[in-house]
Amino acid sequence: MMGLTWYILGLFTSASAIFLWKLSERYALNIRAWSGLVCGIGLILFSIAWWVGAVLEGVPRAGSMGILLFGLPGIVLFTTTLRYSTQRLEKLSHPAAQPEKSEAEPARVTLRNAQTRGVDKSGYWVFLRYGAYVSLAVAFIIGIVTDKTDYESLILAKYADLELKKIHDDPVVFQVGEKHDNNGEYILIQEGQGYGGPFVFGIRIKDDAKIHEVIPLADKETPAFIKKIQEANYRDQFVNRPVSDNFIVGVDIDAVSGATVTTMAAAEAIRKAAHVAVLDYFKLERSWQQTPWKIGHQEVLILLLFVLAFLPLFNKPPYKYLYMAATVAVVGFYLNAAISIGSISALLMGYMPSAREHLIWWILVIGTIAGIIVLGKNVYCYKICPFYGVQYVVNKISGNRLKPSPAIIRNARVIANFLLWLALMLIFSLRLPAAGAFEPFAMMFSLEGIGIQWYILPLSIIGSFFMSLFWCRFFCPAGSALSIFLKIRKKVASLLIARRTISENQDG
Amino acid sequence: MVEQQDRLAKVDKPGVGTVISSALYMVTVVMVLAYIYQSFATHF
Repeated sequence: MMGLTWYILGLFTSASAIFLWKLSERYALNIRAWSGLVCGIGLILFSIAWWVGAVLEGVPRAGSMGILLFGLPGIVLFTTTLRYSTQRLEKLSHPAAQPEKSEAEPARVTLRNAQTRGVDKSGYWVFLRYGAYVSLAVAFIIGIVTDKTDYESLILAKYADLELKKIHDDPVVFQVGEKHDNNGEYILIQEGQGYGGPFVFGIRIKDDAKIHEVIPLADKETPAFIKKIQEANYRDQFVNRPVSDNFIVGVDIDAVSGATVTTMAAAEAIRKAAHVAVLDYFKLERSWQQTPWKIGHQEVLILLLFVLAFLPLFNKPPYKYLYMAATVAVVGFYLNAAISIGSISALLMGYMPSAREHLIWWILVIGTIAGIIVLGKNVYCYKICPFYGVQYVVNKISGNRLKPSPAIIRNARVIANFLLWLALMLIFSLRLPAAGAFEPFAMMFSLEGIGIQWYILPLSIIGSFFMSLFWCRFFCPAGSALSIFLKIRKKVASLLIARRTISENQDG
Repeated sequence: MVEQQDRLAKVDKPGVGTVISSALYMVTVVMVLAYIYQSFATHF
């Protein structure tokens, strides 16, 4: 049924797009008209999806509220904007003069026309851009609404033979059998934050206040890292350990080499669950140490590289090459901490690992974005990014400066943005940053990858052999996202400056 | 006139470099799309 709804919604969306297209050929739609129409249609479609979903889930009341809250404003917005467009806006006199495009016509011709044709086509680009933003917002909302993995059912299914009684909601705690005095048998569910989002575990604790089983329930980590920790049998470290242990990576838990962050996320989840059991169910004394700030030579190195990136000294050889070598060695091979679209989208979705344990992530991701917001400078791309260094060196070795066909160069930005949009749609709707992160960075520096990643890495390296900065210029979704942030920052700054100038003039 | 046409024809004809780089670009685009599709298919 839901499949049919999506299909019908798809038909409605296409019909709306055709309608808008035809309308734009008849009237010189301005940005106000475009945004009103697109938002109106978006709201109407969203309310339909909402209503069907709610009715299917057996909550028709929520469905009606959805229609009232989203559908009605959508209809009002759509009709008023349509009236405004048809009555106030200039009617184009020669709609028939627009060249007809056949489906077989190559995309580049369409795109070239788009840049040279007048009002209609600029409207087309505005429509595309706002359509992209609206669809991302819708995907984001869909992700939030649908992201409810039923961990309890997973546990109940796994232990169908045990008598389980849910005794707590947040965190979820099951009691196994009957409780006697200050002990008993429990299964607790908790989550830790990795770079990709929450890593959820169930732990089974028996009468002896020791962990007897560690059950991974859901993760949002990069599949290669999960594979790595599974191969290292990381779960064995936690089994048969008293619940009041520290469970801190680097203190009493060993990190799995090459997947430290994932091990930390697992340890965090297990630690939280075990310590809840200590205090609430076994009524024992608190005997573990607090997770210390993880500040070692790695963090200091990253901080140093980050600060040095702001100095103009390192823009010119030979210092530039020194710096590049340092980033490839440290950010790349040593720490494998390159920013990907996964890190940026995880931040947008509110998944933030703790600063105590993941200072490197904070310096690189939050630092880069803070640099853009505060100073209007993107120090990551063409500076800290280790993959930039790799491409630079590969291209220097080959000495090639080939250029793809002019049509590709002309449309490269559009295609890069399209790939970014596609990746973000997937990430937001699944609430899974690893799903859309198609960058080969993590793979390049750890040589761990899954499936098609194995083709993307060599292609990007061979590409940069022939063309300088092949990946950065034509593909990098993280780079595209950072440059969009930078663009927004510049626009906001110029608006603020303009406003200040006006008020100063008025004062004067 | 004929010479000029010849010269234009030479300019218009894509060189080996253009062909190689365009092919690499297109293949990478296809692979990235395939990766995204694979992710999509795995999760739905």
